[in-house]
Amino acid sequence: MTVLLIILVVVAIAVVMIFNNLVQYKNEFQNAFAQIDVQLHRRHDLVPNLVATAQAYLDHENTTLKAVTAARNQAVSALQALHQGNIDATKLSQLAASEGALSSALGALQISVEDYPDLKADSTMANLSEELTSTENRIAFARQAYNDAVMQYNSFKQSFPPVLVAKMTGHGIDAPLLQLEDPQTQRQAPKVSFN
Amino acid sequence: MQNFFEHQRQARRKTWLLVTLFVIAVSALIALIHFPVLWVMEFYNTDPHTYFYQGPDKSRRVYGFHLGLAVSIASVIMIAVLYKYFQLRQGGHVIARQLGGEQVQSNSYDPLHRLLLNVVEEVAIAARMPVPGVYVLTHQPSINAFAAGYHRHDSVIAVTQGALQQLNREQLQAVVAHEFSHIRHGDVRLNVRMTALLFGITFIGQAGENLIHGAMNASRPHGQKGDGAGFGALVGLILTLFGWLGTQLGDAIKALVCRQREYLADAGAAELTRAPYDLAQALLVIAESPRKNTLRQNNAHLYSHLFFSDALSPWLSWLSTHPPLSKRIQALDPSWDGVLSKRPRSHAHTTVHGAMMAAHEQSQLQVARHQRNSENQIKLEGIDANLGYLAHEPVDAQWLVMMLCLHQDWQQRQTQLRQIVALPYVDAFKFDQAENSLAGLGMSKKLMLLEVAIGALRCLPQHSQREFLTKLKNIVVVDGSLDLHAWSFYELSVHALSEANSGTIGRLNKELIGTACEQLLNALASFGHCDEKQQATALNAASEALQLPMRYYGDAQCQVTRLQRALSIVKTLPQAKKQVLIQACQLCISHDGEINEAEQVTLYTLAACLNVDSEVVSHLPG
Repeated sequence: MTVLLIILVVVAIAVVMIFNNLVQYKNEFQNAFAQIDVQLHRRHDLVPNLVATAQAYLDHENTTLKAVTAARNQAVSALQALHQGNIDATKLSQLAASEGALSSALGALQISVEDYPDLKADSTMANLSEELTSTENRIAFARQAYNDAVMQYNSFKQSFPPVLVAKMTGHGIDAPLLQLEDPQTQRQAPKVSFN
Repeated sequence: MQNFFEHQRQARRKTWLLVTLFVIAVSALIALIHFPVLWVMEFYNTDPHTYFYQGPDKSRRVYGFHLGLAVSIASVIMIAVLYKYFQLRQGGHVIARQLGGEQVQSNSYDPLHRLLLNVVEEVAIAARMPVPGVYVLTHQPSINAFAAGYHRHDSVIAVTQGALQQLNREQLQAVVAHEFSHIRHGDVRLNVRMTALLFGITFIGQAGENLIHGAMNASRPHGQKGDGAGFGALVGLILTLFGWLGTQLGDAIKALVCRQREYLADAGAAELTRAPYDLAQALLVIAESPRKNTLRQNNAHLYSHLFFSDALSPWLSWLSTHPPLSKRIQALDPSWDGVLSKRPRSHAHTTVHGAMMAAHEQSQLQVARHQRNSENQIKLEGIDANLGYLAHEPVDAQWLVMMLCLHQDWQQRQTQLRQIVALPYVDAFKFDQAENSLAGLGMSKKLMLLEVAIGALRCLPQHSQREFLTKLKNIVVVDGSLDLHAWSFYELSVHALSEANSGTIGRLNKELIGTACEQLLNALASFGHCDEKQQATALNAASEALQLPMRYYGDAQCQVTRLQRALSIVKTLPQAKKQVLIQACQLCISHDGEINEAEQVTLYTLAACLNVDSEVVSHLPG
């Protein structure tokens, strides 16, 4: 009887500990997502300034600027949609798509900036472009941190003793990994061949 | 990914290792210190064993002596350790300040600082850590960085100016990430403990040096060497010796505890940025850099284990606090062939350029600070804004001053202009602009500009100032001849920039000085009066005032070279005589009741170069 009681107590303690760990990891990845959110906002706020500065120099490349603005608006609304309700995979993939579009639009803008030495030399533009680089890095790092946290959560949840507890305590679904397109590859200039 | 707490546990184990080593080192020191103390006591014929216990029992006395010595040394070390520990516990900013770091303000406008702040914030996101304080070691041209702090929230990251300038964005990010992983691994806290403990051993040497200094200075005024001073010096010598020993022991401890964790921090950095290649590149830049990567700072030795790479080069390689660079690079980038390419010459040039840019940047900072204090300074009245900016930029100010000193003669002017444009730091576009706007300026405006430009030039390092002066001389003095304006600007800038070595000629004989005064006043008289008779009377008036007979030359030609020679002689006069001379000059100028520009310019230059105030000077024509 006492043995059974002891086993029960031990199991109960183990369950509580596993549950606490699950909660902690979940909070961690949610917090990491909040960080991405902050950085995405930062990028969205940066775009209008960038467009305003570039506009003075790039009148006839208006399509590039229009594409950037449109992509930015898409991304903003996708981010807003994500805030209504839980984080789920479909909303995330929508966000990923629109952010990817914004990245490539910005990449195109940066390439056309290369053709305008005056614009490149403009100190406001230099500042903005440093901020943009920094923001891209921040987004990449925040995404990396989020994915690390998610991986930690998922692998803990799927490992042996927790897997028994997780489903009962509302940790049934794996947290989704975020797959934004890599801004590094987007930023590379298109290859031109003369053959 | 190991989390923070696991790393902390490892760090704690390291701390135990450290403490054990420290105890061994201290006991070794104490054991060794007994011999010289006993020897000194014998030398002074005192029985050492009565110091701590005066009882009759001989063996107890001996025991008491050893115990007493050990306890007193240990307690002194303990006090030193605790002092340093509580000093450093306050946070990383203490160490950063002691190493000459300046905090980067979060709203900094400097692009390099902006970039550093951004990089630190980026890595903080990747590490999921609060953003630490950011410092720059402004006076260090070498590439290095360190992290310091006791708690996570008070840690700081400091980067040398050299690293900011020579590393690209990705490499800087890798270096910052390396420092971040030191914070994450709890190495910074271990560092605080280690620094405090090692201070306990090494401060003996410092104390010894102070004692020797004290003893030597104390014995001097009395003219005789007291026993006390001799004793003090001897003890000081012994302490210094032990201090050296302590330093070596400390280095050995550092090497034992620290070396391995540099690999760990490198790995941690790669984990944070997912770009081991960039870190390898940063290390490669250090390895290939033509200068030694040592830190120029007094107390760098105490903190050498904090840095990104070896801050000092120890005399034995196994005492170095960091693993060799080549091994670190190999670990990060296995495809590296291990060949350090010699930097091409052009690269050496860029480092020179980098140093110059550093000077430029620093002075820019200073100038900028200056500007903030007096906003209206940058907008010089009636002067083109572009010229104002140029005059405030130390590098641009160099050629601006040269342009002010140009010859009036068209042909010579062209040669000079070509020479100036050929200088490496002249921007042709700005140059053309400046030439156009300078053409429209009056003399007083130009002098104002010169004053500002010289203020900016003073921000340059000493050797660049000297270089500038020789260049100025080469360009401005064509075939040994100058015209009046060029002479004036040239003398003014030389005077302002080489104040220290004026008066090197020493005392000259009266005759020479007399001739010099004669030449000066002759020149002045000829500038101001067209008619020869008037010139002679003006000169006479001045010579009466000076009570010095003067001959009237009568020729108005070639006065400027004479003026130049005379000025260099007159400069050696005592201040009171200079005053009298300037008054005489004033008299000579104003003899005909009107003062023209040439007279004013000359007098202004003379007065400024002789450090004498003059009334005429304040009203220059526009």
